[in-house]
Amino acid sequence: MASDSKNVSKKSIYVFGDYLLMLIFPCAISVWCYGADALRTLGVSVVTGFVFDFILSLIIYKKYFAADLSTLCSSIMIALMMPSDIPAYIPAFACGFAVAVIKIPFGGGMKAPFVPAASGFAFVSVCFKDAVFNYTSGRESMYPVSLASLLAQGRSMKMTTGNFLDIIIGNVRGPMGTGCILVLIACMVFLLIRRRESLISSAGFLAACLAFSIVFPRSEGSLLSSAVLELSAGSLFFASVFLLTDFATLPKYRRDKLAYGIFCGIICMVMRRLAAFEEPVCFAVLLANAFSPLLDIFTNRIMRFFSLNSRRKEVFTDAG
Amino acid sequence: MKILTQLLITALYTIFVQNIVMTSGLGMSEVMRISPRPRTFAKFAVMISGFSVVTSVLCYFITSKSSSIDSYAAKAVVYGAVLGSVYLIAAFFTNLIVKDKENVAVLGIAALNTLVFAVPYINDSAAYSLIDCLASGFGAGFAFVLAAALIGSGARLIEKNKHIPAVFKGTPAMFFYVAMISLGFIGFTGTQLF
Amino acid sequence: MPDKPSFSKKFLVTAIRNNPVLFQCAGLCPVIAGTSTLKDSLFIAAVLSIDLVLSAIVASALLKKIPRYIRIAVYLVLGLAIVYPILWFIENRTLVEITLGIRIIIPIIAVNSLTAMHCETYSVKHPAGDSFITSLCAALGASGVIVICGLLREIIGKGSIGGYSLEMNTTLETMSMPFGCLIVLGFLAALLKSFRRTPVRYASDNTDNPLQPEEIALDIEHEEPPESVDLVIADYEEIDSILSSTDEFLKSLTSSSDEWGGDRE
Repeated sequence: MASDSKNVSKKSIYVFGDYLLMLIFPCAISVWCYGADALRTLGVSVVTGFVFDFILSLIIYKKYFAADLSTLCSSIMIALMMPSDIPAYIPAFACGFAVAVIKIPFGGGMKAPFVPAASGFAFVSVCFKDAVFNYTSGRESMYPVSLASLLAQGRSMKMTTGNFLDIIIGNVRGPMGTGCILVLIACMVFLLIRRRESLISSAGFLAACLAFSIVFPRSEGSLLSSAVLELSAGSLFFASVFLLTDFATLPKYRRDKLAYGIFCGIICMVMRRLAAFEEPVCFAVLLANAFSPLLDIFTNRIMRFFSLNSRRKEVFTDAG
Repeated sequence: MKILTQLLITALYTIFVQNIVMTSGLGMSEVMRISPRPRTFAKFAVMISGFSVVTSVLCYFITSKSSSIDSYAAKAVVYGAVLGSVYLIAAFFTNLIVKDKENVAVLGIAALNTLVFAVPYINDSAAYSLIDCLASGFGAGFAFVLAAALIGSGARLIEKNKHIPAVFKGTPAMFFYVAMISLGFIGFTGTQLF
Repeated sequence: MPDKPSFSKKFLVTAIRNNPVLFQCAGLCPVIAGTSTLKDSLFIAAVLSIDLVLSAIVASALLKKIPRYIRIAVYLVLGLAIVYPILWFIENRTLVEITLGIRIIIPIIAVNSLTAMHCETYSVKHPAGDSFITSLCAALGASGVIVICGLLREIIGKGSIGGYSLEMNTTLETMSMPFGCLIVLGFLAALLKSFRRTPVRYASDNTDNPLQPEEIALDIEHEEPPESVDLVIADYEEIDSILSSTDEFLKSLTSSSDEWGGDRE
């Protein structure tokens, strides 16, 4: 039992340590763009997550697992998906929910069947819809409207070089840590080196979103602008890097990872069109987590039907 | 073609977008009990869809022809009487004519549950046309099976997870799991059914 | 042979340890869909309790000889007979503030699984007196959960109790949605479990009968049992054996193996 928990701790440090390293850069960008508000939101999330985790661990497990960095990662991810000037209690509720309902009851961040950050964010999206998708703060030079609300209104943005650069460096109002696509691409490159297999789901997700945005564009502009706007809007790209690559919920095998990513992408784009929420990617992640075991069975049966499953290659994530 | 499209859209809406099990809790007990038995899913899908369709259509005709059935009390009696009659006819037929005693018991669960009984109410509150009633009834069975499949696979994951604390093992973890699936489905419409 | 368990022991086992809503997952629909406020919950609890107790007495007294597939329909008729005057009263007197959603949930109680399951597994095999007491205990257990759910959901979701505002700055409106109720049920079940001392049998894939009111596994190292555990276990075993007896209605769902394959850990 003691050795088991030591192994889990080592794995946790290995996996979530990578995420923490990656998250430094979106955090830095958010503080640079949004200043003290961003620091406050990050601080509240991290402290709340820690407090909930500490208290509930002591109650349930009678000890606190300091080596489990999943709470810290989830808290930061939740904060980065929020507007910088959001009231403090909202990220607090989100982090509390992620810990109390997902992490602790299911045995920790390495075993939860749902991504804690997606769960917490989805929860507060339903509770405080107006506040969570209200992006009013930011630097003067920023584009005044978020890309997600632009698309929701059926409007577009001309894909000039200036606009394109603004989008990829995050000079657009939106969630405080998910706008800078360049940084997120750099995080993807890091994952490519450290945990290459986990990017299969991200690739499937982004491919599905891209295809959907081209075949069923929401805005009036060109297909290029539709594709760029859809992929850059909201927390979609951020989710592809941090939420879809979550160690606990990622399927084991390559084709299952791909199916998982594609499924999540399709659901996310359908939800965007139904427009119940400006950014529904977290709900799509939750549904993908729920459907994941069924997708595993489904892909297995399809492969067997086409007799392609004679020697199934067992591929584990790098952390496994 | 237009009718088929309308049928398909309403059915898909009932199954996926506003899955009536996950977004309103209808039939939740039966779903949780059926979920460990994936081999019965096809049977339940057909039976629940069948009962829902027949009940929906009959209730649609009765309520549209009779203007006195506009109160909740009257609707309860009419819908219940229709459902009970349809079930008894099916049960008699299965038991006495086909003599398939195995499926008679399953019929009871498939027919007399909160999901099938709620379908005419949903049709009435949404002011569905006859085509939509058909589709909604059809979708109810598959929504049930989809929910059972999701919960069943989740139950298996939870069962295999040895790290769940003792106080959360079993039904507490199952409730949380189902809650998160329900939260996921809220992403489609942002509201609940009733 | 152990003595007949007293009311308190039956209550302990039926309402608390084997709570029909929290551990047997019975009657979930009215709980999830109808307990967004305290008033609605009290109403639902009352209707459900009346339906359960009356159906249990009738099943025990009159329906033992009737074929099972007809008995199920009789529960529906009984349920409607209880529900119709209540609905008529609501609509014509409107003395109680009942939300619109409840007016749809109340008729659904006529087909709720708690009544059918309890009547089929216990009432038709026992005398009316016994059946009345056990059904009353089950009804009290279910009502307790319903009322607590409604209270918590109203406080957290609307910031009020029984319609009286608590003047809270922040409320979580999502608690009035079904998933909010499921979270409350999860925490209630965990809380109740933390007070339990004896282990509970597992309704594993090997069970013949998925509709049996058994509960999901509890694999813990439990503390030293209390002094009166022999009597408590005897009562539990007796009621458990009754509840776990199968009949044709439930046996038909037997499946020989678990088909869930999957590759996930």
